[in-house]
Amino acid sequence: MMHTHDTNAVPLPDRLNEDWRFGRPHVHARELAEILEHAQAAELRGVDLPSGVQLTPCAAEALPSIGSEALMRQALQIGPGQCLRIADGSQLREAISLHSEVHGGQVQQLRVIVGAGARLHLIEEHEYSEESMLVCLRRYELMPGATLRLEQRELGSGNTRAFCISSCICAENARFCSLSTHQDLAWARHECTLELTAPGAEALLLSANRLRSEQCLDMRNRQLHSSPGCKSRLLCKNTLTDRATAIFGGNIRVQPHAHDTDAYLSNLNLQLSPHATVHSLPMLEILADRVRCSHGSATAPVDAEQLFYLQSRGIPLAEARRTLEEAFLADVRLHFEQF
Amino acid sequence: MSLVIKNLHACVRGGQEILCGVDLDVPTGEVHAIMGPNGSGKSTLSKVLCGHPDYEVTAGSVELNGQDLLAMPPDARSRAGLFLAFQYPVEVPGVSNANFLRAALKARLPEGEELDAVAYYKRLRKVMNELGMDPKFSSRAVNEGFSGGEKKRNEVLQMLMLEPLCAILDETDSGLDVDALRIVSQGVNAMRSSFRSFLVITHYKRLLDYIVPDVVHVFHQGRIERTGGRDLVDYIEEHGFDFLKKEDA
Repeated sequence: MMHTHDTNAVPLPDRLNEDWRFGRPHVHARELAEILEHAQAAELRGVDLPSGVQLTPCAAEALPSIGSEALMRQALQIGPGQCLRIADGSQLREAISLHSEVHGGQVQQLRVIVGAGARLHLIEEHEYSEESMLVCLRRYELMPGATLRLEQRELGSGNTRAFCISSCICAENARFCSLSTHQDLAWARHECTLELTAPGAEALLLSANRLRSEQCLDMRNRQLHSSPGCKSRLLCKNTLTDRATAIFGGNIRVQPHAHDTDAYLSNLNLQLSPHATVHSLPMLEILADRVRCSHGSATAPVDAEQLFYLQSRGIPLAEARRTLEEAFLADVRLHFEQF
Repeated sequence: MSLVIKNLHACVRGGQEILCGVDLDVPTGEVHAIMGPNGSGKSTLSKVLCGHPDYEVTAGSVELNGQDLLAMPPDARSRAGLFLAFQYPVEVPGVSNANFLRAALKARLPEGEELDAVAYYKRLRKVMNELGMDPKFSSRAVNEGFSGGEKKRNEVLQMLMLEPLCAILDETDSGLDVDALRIVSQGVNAMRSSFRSFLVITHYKRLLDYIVPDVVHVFHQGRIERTGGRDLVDYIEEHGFDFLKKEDA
């Protein structure tokens, strides 16, 4: 296990270091590897897994990887991870929860395979102890007709840090919805690459985060449309108080032959302090004709008209403000429930 | 006891004066209609009465049942019994209709007192049914994705649930089809009583065919230009507001 001062020395990406953006983490990965050399693997614990579900050790070489994930994996020489496999056609009514506690500096890798026509609601939860840090690689593979509803909860505590790289590949008619939340982490970076590889694939990427004090959340997302006739949506919302910082990089890339793409990304921030900072970089790369793609980004304080509307119904100012702040993020949860 | 407005002047904060000396007395038990051309200041009057922060009152007074409304913040005005059915109700994503109304009703209770949840939901369902609203609307976010007519109906739902002493309806008829207009009007008429007053702002006679006013005012250039009875509505319907221009000349 690592000592506290070691995790603090890990060279993590920052907003001004472009090497980290979209696929060049290997520049620093070797340094990271040296520091995390003795880090223990954080093991996920699944509780009462139902039939049709297996959580097994998984050799590193068996984990296919793309882009920055591959480079990071190679640099870190991460050992065996775990694989959660859902049998074809399994219709799981109850959500499966995978929980892990993070102490010191730890690494974790998880591969999730949802079989053809199977349906899964997966909850991944990391609970961080004080001064801990996690480097996490996750890969989700959805076979034709599969559905995965995924909740990723990072539950920090004081000076805790997370660096999570996720990738998701959706086959024909697969449906993927993720909701990531980061709570009380001093620093977190979340890179997510979504690839829709066959017609009918659909994805909804959601994130809702309450940032305070000096916390910094750095979200990097890519929606890669490799096939015609796919749909993706991304909604990332943050509320910021004190001196918190939110960084968002979002990219929709439509490959040359991926006609009839329907894609949208949105980054919305509720700025509740004049000292909070937001950097938002939504982008489109459209290489095909006949597509519907757009993006949006907005950072603003609580909407004055909404505030007045609540007050006009007798709700006191402080409560109205609190209600709207909570509603801003609750709205994201609603999208997840409706998927 | 009534809504009493005396010599009310108001401007857009730091800008142009829009209300230029409004005098109006709406006694309890009465329905007053305000008609007037576009841009005459009708909607501004409704917002100023409710304390919208975009406007600044520069002179005059407003009392509701003897209480100085202008001295109160918007939420206190509501709890004092004032209600505005907005012309353009805002959407509030993430707050369900049911929770919104519950919070509004709870704000009216003495501190520490809780709302009877069972009785509340029972009453909410009943009122929604009377207004012909799908019960699913109670769990939907306030006005989010609602059609124009659904938003207006939702405003009337809030009014019926909050039971104000004085209700201002700002162009509630716009966006409503004939059937919805009839249902909404029935809801308003059911609330008419000797201890409640209404100020109905509209461009059209058709709403006033359903909600028959006791007094009709014509608003022009930020003040009440003419006051009359039901026949004034018929006159405006036939001749428009041209007579105001002639009077100006």
